Amino acid sequence: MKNKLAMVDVIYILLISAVTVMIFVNQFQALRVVF
Amino acid sequence: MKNIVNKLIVFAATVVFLITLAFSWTHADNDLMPFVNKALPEAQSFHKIASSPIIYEGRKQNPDGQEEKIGYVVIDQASAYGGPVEIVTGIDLQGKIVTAVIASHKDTPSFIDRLTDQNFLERFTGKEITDPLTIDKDIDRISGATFSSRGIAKAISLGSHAVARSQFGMDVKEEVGPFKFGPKEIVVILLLILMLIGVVFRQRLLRWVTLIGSLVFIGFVYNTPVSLANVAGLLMGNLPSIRENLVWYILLLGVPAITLILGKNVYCFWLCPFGALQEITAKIGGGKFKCCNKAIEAKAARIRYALVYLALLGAFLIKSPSFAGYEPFATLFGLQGFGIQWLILPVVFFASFFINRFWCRFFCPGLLLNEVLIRSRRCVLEIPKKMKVRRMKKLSLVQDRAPNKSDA
Repeated sequence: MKNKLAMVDVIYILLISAVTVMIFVNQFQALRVVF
Repeated sequence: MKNIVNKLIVFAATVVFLITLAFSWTHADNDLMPFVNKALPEAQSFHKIASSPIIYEGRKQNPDGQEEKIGYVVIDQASAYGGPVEIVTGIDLQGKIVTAVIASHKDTPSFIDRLTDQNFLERFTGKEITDPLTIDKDIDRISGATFSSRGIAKAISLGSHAVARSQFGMDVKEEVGPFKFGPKEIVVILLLILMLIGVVFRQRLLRWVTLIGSLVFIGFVYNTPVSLANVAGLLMGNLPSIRENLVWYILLLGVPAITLILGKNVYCFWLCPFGALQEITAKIGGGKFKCCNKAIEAKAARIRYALVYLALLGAFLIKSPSFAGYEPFATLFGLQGFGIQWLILPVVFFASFFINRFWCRFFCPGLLLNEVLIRSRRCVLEIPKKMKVRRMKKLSLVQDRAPNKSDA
């Protein structure tokens, strides 16, 4: 049960990190378009 | 010590924010000559003959070696979607538009791309400078880029009419557009009224009515959800015409005013189309996936602060409100996007089946800005209470210090 709980936390962190990184990449792409 | 460091960081961040905001209000003198050359390509030299708006006389050497006038170039601007759009228009001596060129704009690049892909500017070539040059009158709009096309048409119209009056001696009156009040405005006001009834009389069923109505109309039909780009535009002083954009004023000024009065986040939980979609997907998928470590969830929720702060800072520094719009709203509701935006949307959409309001909780600027409004309201309302407590404390101190009469 403990391992299952830790897995949930890892998935959560990975999902949030992935979206955060994608947003930052998106903003850099937007900057490149402007310049 | 930690408290002092935190306060210093907040203070420094606030100062940087205000400085970049002030910077965004400054006007840079762009070098417009490359655009002037494009607008009247046959001219060999240009001489400025007016300043408001800027008008150049285009000249060319004739076979005798003398310079002769061949046309005019006018530079004017009007409000588009994200802010002012600056257009350079070339006009020949017969009073016809030769070319129109976009010199600068603050709109989302995908809107402008849509206009250029459909050769929108070529629609003005050959038009008379006395023509109205108005969308839906003598110029067709571009679907999905209405505000951008209206702003561009308005800028060309203002510039051309100015040349008609000052250089051709023609009497051209500027048309004042009618106050736009159609189905879009009616639907949004109706949703607002339903929301108010639902909040004030605690009718929970109405919440689903307004959420679904918002998803359909504010989202898919009219593609006008509130974005951080709109907030950046507002802070930068880019206010669109209320005659043509009443919905903008309702959603960006009216709804926050209601939030301040009621002390409740009415937009996110009653009117946000993206929030509505996430609630529906959570109902389908369960939405019960929760992080067991509350500390991780609390820390992850702070990502929004950094995203909003950096997005606004970026928008102010490059003077482009659309830069702040990092939400996937336009990708979903308008099918407009570029690059990695097409990946953000499906990932967030998939996650929202299992995590309730996934985007709202960790990334959405709307929730954060509404929290700021509600906290500010609470602080202001607590001022009289705090003052009363202070007065009571002072009074009791004075009473304690006063000498006892019996002792005397």
